[in-house]
Amino acid sequence: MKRKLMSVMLCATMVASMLGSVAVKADEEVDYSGITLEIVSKGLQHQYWQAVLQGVNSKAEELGVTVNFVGPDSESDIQQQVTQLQSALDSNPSAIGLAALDTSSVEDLLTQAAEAGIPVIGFDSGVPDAPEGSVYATCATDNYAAGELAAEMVYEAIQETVVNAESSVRIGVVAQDATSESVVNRGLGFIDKIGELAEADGKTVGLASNSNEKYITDSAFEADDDADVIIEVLVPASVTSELSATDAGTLMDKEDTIAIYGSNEHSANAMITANENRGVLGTGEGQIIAAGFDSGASIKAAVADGTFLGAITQAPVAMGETLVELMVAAALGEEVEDVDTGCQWYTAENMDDEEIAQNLYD
Amino acid sequence: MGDVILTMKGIDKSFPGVHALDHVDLEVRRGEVHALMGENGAGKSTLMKVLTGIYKKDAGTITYEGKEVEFSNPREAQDAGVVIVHQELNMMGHLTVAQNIFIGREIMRGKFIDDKKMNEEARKLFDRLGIDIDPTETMSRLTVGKQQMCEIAKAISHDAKLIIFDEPSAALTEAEIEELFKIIRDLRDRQLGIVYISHRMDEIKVITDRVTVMRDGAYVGTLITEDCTKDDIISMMVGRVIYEEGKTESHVAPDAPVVLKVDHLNAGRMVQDVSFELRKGEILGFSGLMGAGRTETARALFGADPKESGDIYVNGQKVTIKSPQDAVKCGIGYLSEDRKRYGIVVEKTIAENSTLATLKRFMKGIFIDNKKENEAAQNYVDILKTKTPGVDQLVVNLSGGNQQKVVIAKWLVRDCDILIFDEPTRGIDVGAKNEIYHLMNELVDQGKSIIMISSEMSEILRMSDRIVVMCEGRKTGELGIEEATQEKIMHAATRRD
Amino acid sequence: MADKTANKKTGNAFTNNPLVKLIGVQKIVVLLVLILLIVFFRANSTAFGKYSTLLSIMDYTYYLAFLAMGVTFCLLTGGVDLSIGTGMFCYAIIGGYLITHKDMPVIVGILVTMLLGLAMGTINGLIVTRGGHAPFLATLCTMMIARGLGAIATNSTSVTWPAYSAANGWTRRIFKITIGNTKYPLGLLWVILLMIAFSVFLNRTRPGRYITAIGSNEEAARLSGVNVKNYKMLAYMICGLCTGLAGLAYSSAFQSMAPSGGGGIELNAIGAAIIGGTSMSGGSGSVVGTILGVFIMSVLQTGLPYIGLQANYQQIIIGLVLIVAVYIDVLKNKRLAR
Repeated sequence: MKRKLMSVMLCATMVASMLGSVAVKADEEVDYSGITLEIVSKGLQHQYWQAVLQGVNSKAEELGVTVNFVGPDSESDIQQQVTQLQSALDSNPSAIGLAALDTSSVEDLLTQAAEAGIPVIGFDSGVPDAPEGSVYATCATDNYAAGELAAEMVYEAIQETVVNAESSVRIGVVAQDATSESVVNRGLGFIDKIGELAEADGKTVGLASNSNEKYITDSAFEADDDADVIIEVLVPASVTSELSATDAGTLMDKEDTIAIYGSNEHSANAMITANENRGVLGTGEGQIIAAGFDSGASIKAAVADGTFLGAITQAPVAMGETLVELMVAAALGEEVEDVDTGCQWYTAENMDDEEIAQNLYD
Repeated sequence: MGDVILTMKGIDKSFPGVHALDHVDLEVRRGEVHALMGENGAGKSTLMKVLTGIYKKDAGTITYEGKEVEFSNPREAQDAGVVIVHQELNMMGHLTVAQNIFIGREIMRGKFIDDKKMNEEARKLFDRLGIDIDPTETMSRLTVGKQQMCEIAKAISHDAKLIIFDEPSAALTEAEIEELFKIIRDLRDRQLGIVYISHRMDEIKVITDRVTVMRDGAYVGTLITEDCTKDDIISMMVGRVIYEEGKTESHVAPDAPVVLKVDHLNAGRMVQDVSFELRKGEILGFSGLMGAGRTETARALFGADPKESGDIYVNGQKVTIKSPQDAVKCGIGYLSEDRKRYGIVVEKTIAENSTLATLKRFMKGIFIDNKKENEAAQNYVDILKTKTPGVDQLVVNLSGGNQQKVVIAKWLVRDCDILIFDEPTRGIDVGAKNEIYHLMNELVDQGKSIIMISSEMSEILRMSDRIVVMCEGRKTGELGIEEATQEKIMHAATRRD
Repeated sequence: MADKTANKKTGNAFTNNPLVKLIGVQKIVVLLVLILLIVFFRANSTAFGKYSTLLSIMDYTYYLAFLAMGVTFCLLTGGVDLSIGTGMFCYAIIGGYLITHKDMPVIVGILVTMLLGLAMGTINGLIVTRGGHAPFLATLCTMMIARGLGAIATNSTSVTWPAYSAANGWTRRIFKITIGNTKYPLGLLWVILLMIAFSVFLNRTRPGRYITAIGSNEEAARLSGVNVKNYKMLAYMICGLCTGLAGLAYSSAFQSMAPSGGGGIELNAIGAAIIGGTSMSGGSGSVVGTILGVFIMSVLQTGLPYIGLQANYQQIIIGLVLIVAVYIDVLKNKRLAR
């Protein structure tokens, strides 16, 4: 019963994006055809970006604006993104959309954009700490809030176990890295929230001492291997499937692990790989509760068959649409504000609902 | 000629198993060009290495500029004014001429190299020597001759008092040699002492004042060049060779067919218009000094190096040999002079090496028949008396003579009719040498034919039925064993035409 | 002068033992190290002893084994293939893309993956033998090409081969089969079969013999009438085909593969071969040794997290292991160069 209730949980801020779209549509007299938009994403390789692209294309078609959407070959190819941003700038577009891999390496170009009067709209992880006046607005998922949402859902499933536990229990976090703003915030939101909930039930909370330093430092909790609830965050030395799968397997093999969370598609996939050899994830007696992030064929299958309790999906399609709207508005000189494009918790029950299904991709 | 600058007296040097220098004397005066001559292995290079501190002498004294000295390394010798201009150029092709000349002692301004100053100094140096080279030019763009000039300039820039030229003319053209001689004469006139090592009899007569001849590590004598003839020098160089069972006449039947005919073979500078014939059952000796082009001829013939022109006939049939594979198909086997580099596969067993050229015959379906392979290898181990515990022994564990036998086995297994033995006994002790000689004689008795390249005069005279002599890429003589003498061979080997 | 020592006494009672001689000293040492590692991890982590850990090690082993066996052939000729890591991703992604995005039968995806590997191996071989490029450079170039190719062919999307439970997910079941309620590492059987086939190929057939002879002394082999170019070419083609196989193994063990990924894996594979006694300078080595080296790598990679070591320390340890392995190789070469 409980599951039914939580299954259709929307982030409140979804509404904001709806409002945003209304704002542009109201002005029907404007001719958009002269507007050209350049969008530089973090990549194209993940399905997630393909969904953003889908939203961008549909909105652009609707408004009749020209869009060029590019991204580097991998999310570590900072130099390539800089080059792409440079050529975007050189084409003198009406507006630029940017999800920066590394703010400092594009700082110079952003200043140039500001001087040329080309508005820049951030999206996804946006452009944190951008030079004053260059980025007009950002449309993004509030990653910290998304992590918190996952923590609430997971804690509901494990609360009973935690409260009744006589010895320590462990919650694993599989993180892709400790450098990407979005991945770190999703992790921290999860850690802080689940710790807060456990403390509310009178338990002590600490991070395992072998957790990644960044997460230990930035979270609300100290390293403590003797706490009632131990949160262990593992980060691989390089972003490869096999290393992350090993991390996930290590966490699953610990006797006291009761839940595990993967904070992006890569990490959630690694959990699935590790579980194929173990079969320990699920909601049954003695099984480990698992939560993922983003979608993709494997994760959707894992949610559908109950391996995962559920997963968070962002709204990439809506993000793409909102991005185009914001860029057009900024190009026309309108005031624009930050928009949280929201996130959703999806489970086997609700994943076929239309409003969720449109944000799930293979 | 001025006073004596260098006296080497009673220099003695031994390496394990070899008495390389046996009480050698050498005296060089200021303002003279002193030739140092001798056959391959006479000890000229060793003597110069002792002088410049590369080797430590066992006995004897070196007096330089009136003081007894013993340089412990070339650098020390250089600092004292004794420098060598090597036959192989020691230049860094990518650096400029000036950078090469001043390598290791760059002119600095503060912490940085002062290239401008170095170019100026180099230019001054060239002007003094009358050499026309741009110091800023990249070394690799110069001709070999010009590079040699730079090497000389570099030597002189060390404030040299005694310069040793080690076969400086080997790679030079006629015009370049003229220029070289001009510089040498100029240096002589400035009262430098000059040691000139060369095989070219004509040059010795032209440029040198005195000649010291060495033979088998021993001092033979010193002559005033003007007062002696070529024949005098040659007879001092060759001495009397003692060899057993030397051939006095050809063992080849007069009507023996020609199995290999090489017609006007050309392959680079080292093989120019070489023609010869090899007959069935014959050992054809290839004689000549170092760098005469004998190995190059063999390699071109065998297809190991590309050839420019020339025809090859095997048993009267014209054949195309573009790769060793082709040669092997024609029944030609090549035993390289450098076993380790070209002959054997050291990390493999005797059996594997023995069948390398013939593996096709040891197959059972697609698999190698190890039993058959081992039997064949064992057979040749027995025939050749290779000393080894078994055919599964790695070749790296064998001695030089036994490694050579493995290489021979490889071609015997192949049943080649024409075998090229390139320095077959180099680095092999006397006992093993004799075994290899016996083997070669047995092979020709069986009707095989052998081309034997050798730098050892005694080996050539002992084994050959006929002798081809080469000098600087050309065939300069062909002698039947009946008429061959060391003097005749040496004449041809030092002829430059 | 050296003939007096015709039968140099080498080694000691251990190295002269016929059994030791047959297997090879290095392989025995590597096997001992492997056992020690397993005992060590087992003693320091109870979780490491689980059956599931074995399955995880195997996931890691399959693709690395194929890559390492393939590259062993290149190393034996005295060359190397750096394109295998990126190539493995490239081929499997294109193959998988055809299945998942173009609805082609799985067998087409497999064939495409294998053929791409073979094609790239052939290209590598051509550049090295006909173009005369240094293998290091030639394959570095094709590595870059593979990186771009995967991204272009799949429109830069990541690809997941059909899931284990899916009807067309049988590629995954080739490597891990479920009988009753237990999963068995079936892939190990394929690895061992291929290892045996390659061993026989290297030791008992002419191409195998020539490939090692070329690496040991290319000029001697050439002067013996061996067609050096063709057999080198063959080594690169085998390596390419193995890379295709590795792509299948990787996509069967893991979930999504991103285009332009896989860089760095080639070093793990080369490292495994070297640990197993294959010489960087060519001429000596065996696929059996390589497989032992692969197990060292996979047990290390899987085991280190179990003893609570942070990822960056794991990298350091693997780097150190490789330095030791290469040093042993250097020592061996010094002995041969005497």
